[in-house]
Amino acid sequence: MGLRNCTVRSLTSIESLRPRAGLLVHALLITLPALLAAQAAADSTIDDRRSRLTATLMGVQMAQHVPSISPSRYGGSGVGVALRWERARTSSVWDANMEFVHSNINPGSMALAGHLNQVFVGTVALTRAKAVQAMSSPRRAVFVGLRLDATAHADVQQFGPLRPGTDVFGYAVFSAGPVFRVSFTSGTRRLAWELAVPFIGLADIPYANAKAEGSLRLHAVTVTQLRTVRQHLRYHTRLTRGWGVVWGYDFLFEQQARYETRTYARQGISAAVSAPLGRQRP
Amino acid sequence: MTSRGRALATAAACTLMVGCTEMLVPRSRGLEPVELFDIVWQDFDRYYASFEIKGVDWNDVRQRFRPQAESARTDAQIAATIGRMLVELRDPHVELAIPPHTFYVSLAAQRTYFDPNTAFGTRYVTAGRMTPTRNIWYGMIGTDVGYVRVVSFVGTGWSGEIDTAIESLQAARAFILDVRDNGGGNSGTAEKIASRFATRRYRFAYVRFRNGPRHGDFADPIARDIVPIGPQRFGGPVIALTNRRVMSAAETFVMAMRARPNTELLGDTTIGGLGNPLVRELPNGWTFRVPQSIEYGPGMEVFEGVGIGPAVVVPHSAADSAAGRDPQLEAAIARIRLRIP
Repeated sequence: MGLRNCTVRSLTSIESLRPRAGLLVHALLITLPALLAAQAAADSTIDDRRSRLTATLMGVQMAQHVPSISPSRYGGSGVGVALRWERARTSSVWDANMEFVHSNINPGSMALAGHLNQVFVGTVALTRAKAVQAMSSPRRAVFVGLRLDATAHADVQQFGPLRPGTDVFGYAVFSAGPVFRVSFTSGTRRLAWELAVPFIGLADIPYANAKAEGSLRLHAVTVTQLRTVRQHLRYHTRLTRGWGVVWGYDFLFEQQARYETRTYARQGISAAVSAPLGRQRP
Repeated sequence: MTSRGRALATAAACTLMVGCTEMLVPRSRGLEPVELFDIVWQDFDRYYASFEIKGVDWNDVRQRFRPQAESARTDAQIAATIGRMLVELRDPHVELAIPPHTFYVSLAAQRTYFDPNTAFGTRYVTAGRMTPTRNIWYGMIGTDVGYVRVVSFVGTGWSGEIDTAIESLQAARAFILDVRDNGGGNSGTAEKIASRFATRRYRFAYVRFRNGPRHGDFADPIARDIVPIGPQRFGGPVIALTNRRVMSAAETFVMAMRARPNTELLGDTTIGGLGNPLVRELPNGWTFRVPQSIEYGPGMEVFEGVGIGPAVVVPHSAADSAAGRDPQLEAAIARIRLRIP
């Protein structure tokens, strides 16, 4: 087989073998605004000031290009779970979120068939935000605050059919940065959009695989080495007795530039059940 | 537009703007022959641990071989060029796998004349047996010396088979541990087997991993200890048999024996290929291995590229093999009997 034949076949397969789960995600994303518009038509009240606990199930699609693992771009899909505690007031928001995601990603290339990475990502985030805009209407609120993130990312590389075995890559980041949140309330429904841009933190970004370092080695990072954008879009609908359902869309883009440029992108849609904690305030 | 409409429009725009993660992540690199060469050269430049130990000028190697890569037009031509470049490292852990074949530095020159069937034959070993995985051969030499040959350290989960061997050789007052022609495998398995011959914890090695773009960038040394495990541990005299085909995890085992009290290495020098390999892949499906670490003895001695020399050198010739003799095993038997209390 000539190299050029191999080239054509590989590139063709990259185009044709994009993760099929991604198609489902895209379809849902396109229809999501329409669903939101339809549901936002109702008008009653969501004025529940109790803290809330939300359990979330996610479907995610991710792609990454990490030269220290492979010169190829890897992509795939997976699932995630999250547990979130939130206390939203008119003037401030406290939000703590624990999230775990598992994905199988591959290079999407016939030439690298059988090469597979399993990605495990755990994130703990704490957000504190205060209202910055006087309520122009009881429906809209704008918050600005600080978000703290702790993320552990493990990438288990399986070498492919010729070479049984695995290697472990990954990184750990503790970051902080501003968060911007806008929420629109309409009766029993609330749409909240949040943008977080961590710009400073501590990170362990190994040169190669995890065993090369042996232990956690944190160093200070700023936007020159770590560029992250997180976006969350959540649509709350209230059910009976304060319980609710939350539909969500999450997006993460992260680029690390310590030894090389490593790029990670992830998006996901989620469904969650939200429960009030404690008794309703008067 | 109402405020609700603006909100929904904003949400939709944000959603659709970031709707495709793959658009944000760089595509795979190209597959032109010279690009394959560049990826391999660059990966070794970034991750290979032994440039300085071996005195290899990697930039010079690139200058010599890149013109050949530029003129390569087929898989065979670029594979041959990459292969010739990698041979410059003289490292048995370096491999280039082009499905379905794997190419590596040939060990044909490391002729040992060791014949396992001679060593394990009735001339020396009585009541010889093998464990279920056939990785461990064992038996008695006379009435007081146990003989254990570890054929390979490949894989995990079978190291407990050594317990069976030790238990059935309970009459042994000394052991000959034979790892000749053992090409290695999993160093954890090697350490677990060595741990059955330890009665107390001891340090046998340090390992340092390459962790930076300069050829001399290494992480701090990681200590490696042998910790006694297993239902029965043997603390008596041991002779470990080595030869010029002992490499990788088998050399880890030899290092563990070298640091063990009341132990002697006998035979010939090992290969000197101890670097833990990082597996890399190319966009066209080829893979290759880059040794990314250096192992040191407990006194920070370096064996990479030079091998571990035995305390007692005993040659093994073609004539010995033709005569059905194993002079290294014979010397080991004679010396171990002197050590039996």
